[in-house]
Amino acid sequence: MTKDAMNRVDISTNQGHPGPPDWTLADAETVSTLFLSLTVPLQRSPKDLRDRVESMLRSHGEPLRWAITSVDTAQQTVQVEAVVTQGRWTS
Amino acid sequence: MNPFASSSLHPSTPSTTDPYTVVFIVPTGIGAAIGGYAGDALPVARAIAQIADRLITHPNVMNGAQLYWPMPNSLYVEGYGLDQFAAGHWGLQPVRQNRVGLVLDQGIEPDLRLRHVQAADAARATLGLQITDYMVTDQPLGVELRTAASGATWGTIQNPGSLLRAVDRLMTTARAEAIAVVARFPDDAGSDALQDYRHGQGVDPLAGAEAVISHLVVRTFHIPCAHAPALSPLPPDPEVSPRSAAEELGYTFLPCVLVGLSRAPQFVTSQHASLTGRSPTSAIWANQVNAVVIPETACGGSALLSFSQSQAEIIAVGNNTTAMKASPDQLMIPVRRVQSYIEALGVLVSHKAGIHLAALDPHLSHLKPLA
Repeated sequence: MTKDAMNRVDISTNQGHPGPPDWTLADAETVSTLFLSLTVPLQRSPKDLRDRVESMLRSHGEPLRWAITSVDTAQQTVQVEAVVTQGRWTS
Repeated sequence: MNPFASSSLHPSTPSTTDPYTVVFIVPTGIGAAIGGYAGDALPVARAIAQIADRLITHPNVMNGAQLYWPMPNSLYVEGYGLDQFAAGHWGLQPVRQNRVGLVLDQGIEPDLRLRHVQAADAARATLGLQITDYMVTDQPLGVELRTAASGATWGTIQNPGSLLRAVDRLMTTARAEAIAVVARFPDDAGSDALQDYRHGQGVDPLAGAEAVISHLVVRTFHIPCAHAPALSPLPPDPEVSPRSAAEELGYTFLPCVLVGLSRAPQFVTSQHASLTGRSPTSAIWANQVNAVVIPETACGGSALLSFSQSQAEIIAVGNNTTAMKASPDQLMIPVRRVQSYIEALGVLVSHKAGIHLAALDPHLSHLKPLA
């Protein structure tokens, strides 16, 4: 994690569910969803900020839904809440 | 004018001959004073659709459980697809009709499942919608609700793979072109959050999880999707707010979802290759958007950050308060601030007509020599 990555991370996950006893290996290749909140440095432009948020979320999974919920102008940071997915879907 | 005609495939900016295109966003699950309840931003959408040649909006705006108002010049675009559209990654391809596939959560009790199947059958018989045979997920989806520190609601699902398998089957076997998902949501009839919501206060406790479900389907399959929660009926309450009352009318919230999806645009990629095998020649792209209307405190979403880099006029509405604290000035997003949607409608009329707003103010200053 880089220096200007998250100051505070709150992560909860639903990973680890056992699944039914007749699961195959392919079935076990499941996706999981993960909620997290993180602090991101303000960037020079809204587009840079969007890209920075998504880049930081990608260190936890694939961004699914996120929003900047508040801005700290003194600290030059934004607070982000997000859900990312982990794992890979194969049909 | 044909609202879905396009003068070119992928123009750099909107021209005066292009259809006037407005994106109307009220993010879900953030306690918006207008649009935070049961489809209660729909009257605003109807008003904007009278001004705009094309209105692009999303299920949270259009869905009023058993109430809906189809508009021929509106495009019903799920939030993840809207984010991709705003970023210029995906275009919107209008359609005459989609074949809608229905996914039902295995966690829905038999009687409640029957109510939803009958709602779908009614949409076929009464509205003429094309709906495929339905899929029940191979596991309960296990929806879990969460309210975050900001006050926004979010959610996770325990078995997203089961949802994706059901969608895959509907697309491959039943040739579904859009997906309606009904997940069993936790009943929490006595909770303060639910009581507040029914009374027109606070944040919709279900909305954030609903968005996660539909985002997952759209991101994975690039297909229109929307969600309706399955819930046990609540006891009658004379204090239910008019803004929440649409969800008190029956056994399901599914009809509005089926209606919206039946004409939801398909997605095409920026490489002009259709994701769905349809011709992208009349697809609509982000750089054809003329104006975006958003609550002033909710400017921190992906779509708005993307639109802020475009030529679109962003209109930030002050009195649609939310739980968010992401204002445009803090995020360096140039906007036109208005107090209300009534004022926003006036701005849209002027913008469409090419009338500078200063001319509508009694105090018009003199021109000065340029320094």
